Amino acid sequence: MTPQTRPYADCSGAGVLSPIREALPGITRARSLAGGGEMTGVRDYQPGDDFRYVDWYRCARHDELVSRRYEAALPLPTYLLVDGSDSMSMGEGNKFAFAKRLAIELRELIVSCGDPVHVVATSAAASDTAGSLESIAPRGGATDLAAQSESVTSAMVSPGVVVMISDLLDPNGLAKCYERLRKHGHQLFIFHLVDQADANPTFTGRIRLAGATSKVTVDSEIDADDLADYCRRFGSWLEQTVRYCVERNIGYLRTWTHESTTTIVERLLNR
Amino acid sequence: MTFVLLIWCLAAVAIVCFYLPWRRRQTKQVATLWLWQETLQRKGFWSRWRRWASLSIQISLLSLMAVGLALPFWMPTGTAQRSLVVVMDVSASMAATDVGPNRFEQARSDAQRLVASLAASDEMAIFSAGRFPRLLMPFTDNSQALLDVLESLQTTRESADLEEAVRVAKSSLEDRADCEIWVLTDKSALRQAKLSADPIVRMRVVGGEGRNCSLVRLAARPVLDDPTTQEIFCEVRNHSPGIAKVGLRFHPDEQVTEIPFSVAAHSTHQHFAKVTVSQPVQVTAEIQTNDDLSLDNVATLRLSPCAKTTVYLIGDPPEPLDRVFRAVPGCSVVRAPSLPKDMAKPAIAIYFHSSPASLPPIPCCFFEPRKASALWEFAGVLPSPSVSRTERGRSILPDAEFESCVIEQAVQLHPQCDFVTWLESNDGTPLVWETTHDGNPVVVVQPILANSDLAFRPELPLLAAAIVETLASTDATLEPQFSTDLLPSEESQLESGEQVGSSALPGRAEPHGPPAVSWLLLFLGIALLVEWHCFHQRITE
Repeated sequence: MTPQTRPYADCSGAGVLSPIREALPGITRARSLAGGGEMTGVRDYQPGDDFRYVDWYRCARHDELVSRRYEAALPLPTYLLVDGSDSMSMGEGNKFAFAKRLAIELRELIVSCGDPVHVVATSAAASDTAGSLESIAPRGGATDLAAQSESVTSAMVSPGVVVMISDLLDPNGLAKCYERLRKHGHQLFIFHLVDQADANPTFTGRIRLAGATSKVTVDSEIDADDLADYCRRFGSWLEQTVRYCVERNIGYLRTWTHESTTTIVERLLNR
Repeated sequence: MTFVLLIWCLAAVAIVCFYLPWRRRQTKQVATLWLWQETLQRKGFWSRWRRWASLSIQISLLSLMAVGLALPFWMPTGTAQRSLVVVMDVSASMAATDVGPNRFEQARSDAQRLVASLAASDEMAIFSAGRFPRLLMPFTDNSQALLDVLESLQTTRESADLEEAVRVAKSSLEDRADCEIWVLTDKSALRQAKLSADPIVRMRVVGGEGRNCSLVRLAARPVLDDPTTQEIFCEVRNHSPGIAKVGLRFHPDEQVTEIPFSVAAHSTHQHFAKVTVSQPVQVTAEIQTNDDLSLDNVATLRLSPCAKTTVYLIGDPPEPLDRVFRAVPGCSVVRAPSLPKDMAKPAIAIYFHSSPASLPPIPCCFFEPRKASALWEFAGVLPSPSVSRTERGRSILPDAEFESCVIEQAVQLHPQCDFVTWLESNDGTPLVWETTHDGNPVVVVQPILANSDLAFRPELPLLAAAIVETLASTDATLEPQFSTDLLPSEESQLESGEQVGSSALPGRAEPHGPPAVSWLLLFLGIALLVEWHCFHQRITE
């Protein structure tokens, strides 16, 4: 199978690199690795690189494991995946509305580069491939990243860059989602939405905690120690997520819902 | 104790209310319930039970304070709460000075030591044992009040009825558990032994072997054949084991007569004297000797001149009756159909076969009453004529034998008032009886003299003399007059009570008030409560 590659000049249609590709080194690299055109160079092997592009000759001769880099020949589509689960409807700044605004910003940025873009609003059970981003609504349900990835892979046949805008609050984690996307040749970039209410809750006393989706409630006496313990666990979860993404070369950008989307895009472009 | 329990309950309720969650549980929707569940599942035991552990510790500290407060009430229960009754003998003999300063002061000192021996929860009551027992202080734990009562006690000139006092004291104990009755007295060994038989009675005997000569009797009576002269009778008794040299001094009016004599051990000396009494006069007898009890060394007697009593015989009594009344010394007999309005005084009326509708305002006697009176109920003829003598209590008819009298017929009267029977028939019907009407004595003689041999017997003059003596006694002319300020004879006998073991007084009690450990627990409880409150505030913030 010949990797799909295309030159960067062709990608923008105007002879410039797509900003998001520039900002997302993993994606850029992947596209260059996945290209089927002329080889432009090699680099050290990194986990996730296809073995087909390993320079075995160089490995045998110099005892170095390197991957060959090719110029892309075809533009890869970008899938904007907006998490529509119930947890996205919560928080101080309504994470779903924020995610939608961010998706609009990103879509405009990518479209301005001439890349194809698809918008998907997902929930645990359904996906929406509507073309108009403004009209999408949260679909409800529990946060299930694996199901979201499945909805993408089933609807979008051609591999591309999946830009996931989600709070990632899936107790099962990101692994299944990533594996499924990777299996179908997709590259993943995550805008991790973090809300202040989720990260630093302030309520204490006799509290009945109700989940966003499930009917389960937990009655407890929450004090300062509990809050500190929760914050510590939340921070630890954030660190694990970042580490997971770094180890697997997944694009990751943590975004706080109290920031403006423009700021986030600028932050993305200045990476 | 109940007060402490009440305070503890109120404080405990306040603390529990402070700890109870009064606000409703708030519902918070969270996006990360799984993270929260992990957090709360790993919540420590201390975090889960901190509120209730804190409440338990607060209650424990409160209990510690309550224990501290209640300790003074609890501690005496370990040493058994006692109820003491002090019976103070206030009889005249307690003024004897055979022990210094006198017996009563020593008894008072012993009683004060008993008060000092009271523990915090002990109670004491004080009775005085005189002629009648008196409750001076009901049960109290107020030592000062008890001491004040003891301080105000004084001896009297009465004798002491200790048995009655102890009986009343025992009745005041009701159902008290640990009781003691302390009798502080100098009374005779026989009485002490009798009282000591009671297990709760403890005798505390004061006094020793006292020396005493006492005026036992000082009396005067008119001479029958000379009413202006009165005989004075004085009796001195030596209660000491040795011979006593006594100087008896008489003060009849302005005169002073000194009579020295000696009285053998435990014997009596009697002295007679005659005094002409033309006007009221006071006779004082005084023993001139140095003994341990001075209260019985002086006695006074007030004498008045005697006058002949006029006896009015009303209703034409028979000649024997007239003669026997004329033979009674000290009286003049006047026969009259009815009681004159201007009668001489003193006077008595003797009715024969008649009785006025309303009794006269002077002492009177009825022989063979025929008409009903307010004093009796006329009931017919007495069927059984035999006589028995039932006079009790005092000797009205000394040396008279009526048992052999034959009375063939008598009138049966049922007195409707309190009366004293002089003579009665064998079936219990009163024959001669005495009663009182409007303060005047009334004597009723029911036998019919004409049908009995009473008129021919020497007992009839004796009966007449007894009637006159009884009816005229209200003027105090014929009765021996006794001194009113003589001590009871048993009070003059300063015999020692040493023969019966005197109970030892208990030791001085510990100072009253909460013990040191109580204060310690109280302050420790307060300190820990404050400290715990601060700590609780810190850990819940």
